[in-house]
Parts: sequence; structure tokens; C-alpha cells
Amino acid sequence: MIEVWATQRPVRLFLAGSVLVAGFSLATLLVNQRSFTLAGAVFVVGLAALLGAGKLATP
Amino acid sequence: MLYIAAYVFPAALVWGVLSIVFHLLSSIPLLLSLLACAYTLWFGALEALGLPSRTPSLAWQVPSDWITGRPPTVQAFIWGAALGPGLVTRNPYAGMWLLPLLLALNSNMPSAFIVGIAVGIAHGGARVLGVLNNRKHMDADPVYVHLTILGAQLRWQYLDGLALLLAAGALGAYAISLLGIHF
Repeated sequence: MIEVWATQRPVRLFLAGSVLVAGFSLATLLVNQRSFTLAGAVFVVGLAALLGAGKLATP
Repeated sequence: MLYIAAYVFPAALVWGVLSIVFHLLSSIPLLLSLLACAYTLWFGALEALGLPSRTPSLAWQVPSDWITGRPPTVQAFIWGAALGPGLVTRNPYAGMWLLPLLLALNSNMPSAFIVGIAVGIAHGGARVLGVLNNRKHMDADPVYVHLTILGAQLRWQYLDGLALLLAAGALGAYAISLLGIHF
């Protein structure tokens, strides 16, 4: 149900824009607090796990 | 357990070494962050909006003669060394090539090395858990399995696209801060 909703073009556009703005705002906050490097490290490890788990069909 | 180790150890080793190599680029953070921002914005938009895209990827596959006739332990380590780090085989997600760029943005060498190893463990570990989970469906109808995997890959591409756009926003803000502009 939520999957059908989330893959509609307007929802995709809205989510994409929101995430972009959220990334900018969050990073601005983190840079000001000097925590950008730490947050970046957490993000890169999380992204690596997401990518590894997503490769279900690659031979 | 051995199967998990066969994926995780080579991945940790490769990404640890890569973090040292890419650390050489850490002296040009502005250029790196702008490059990474452009990359994430382009591929993030394509993946998140479900537009057709050709993700940068190698088409190499593990040759069958590397596997056939070898003991199961050796086979596991060959698969693990090839698939664990996630760099040399087919890759459907653009986020993969952002990882080295983000590692290079870390200006502290020991910290970058630890993060590199963590990236390898995270990728190799998640990859092997996916492989082990897929083994449950070995007896299922191949067409059903193919369609299930295809559907999962599309969902994962969407998630990867959103993660890339989050990174694009963050990298944009970081690049602006490097120019001395603070909000």
C-alpha cells in the first residue's frame, strides 16, 4: 500500500526535494557544531551496509 | 560463520587499503566535495525519480573455472574476495562510487582508515547476509525469483537515490562552508 503511494511521480518528486533540503540543513547544523566528519563517517558506513544488502542479484 | 568471514575480511582489508589511497586526495576537499555533490545530485535524482540511468559499473563476473573443482572453503573465499568489497562485479547502485569520495573527505588518516575498515565490514557483512537469505529460495520457481529480485532492486535503487540526494544536500552545504560562507 505505502509502496504504491511512495512510487507515484509526485510523491517521488516531493521526497527527493525534501531529502535534498534536509541534507543541506542538517549538514549546515553539523558544520556549525563541528560534527560533520563524525556524521559523515556514520553516513558512509550506513550507506555501505545499505548497498551491500541491496545487491541481491549481482553475480 | 566461515562463509561470513570469507566476505567480511577481504572487504575490510580492501576498504582499509582504499581509505589510505584515497586519503592522498584529502588535501583538495573543496574540489572533492563539489565533484561528489555533482555526482550525487545527478545519480540521486535519476534513481529517486525512477528515471532510466546507466550506473557506473564493471561487468566482470567471477569466472567459472575459478570455482569448479575447488573445495567448498576455497570457493567461499573466492566468492567472498570478489563480492565482499563490492567493487569489481556488476553494481546496480550509484551510491557505491560515492563511498571512496566520502572516505577521501576525512582529513584525519587514522580515522579515515578505521572508517574504511568499517565500510568494508558493513558492505561485506550485509552482502553475505543477503546471499545467505537468498539461499532459502533456491528451490523456488526461477521466474518468480527473478521478478522478486528485480522488484527488490528497484526499491533499493529508490532508497539509494534518496540517500544520494541527502548526501548531495550535505555536500553542497559543506562545500559552501569551505568557501568561508556560514549560515
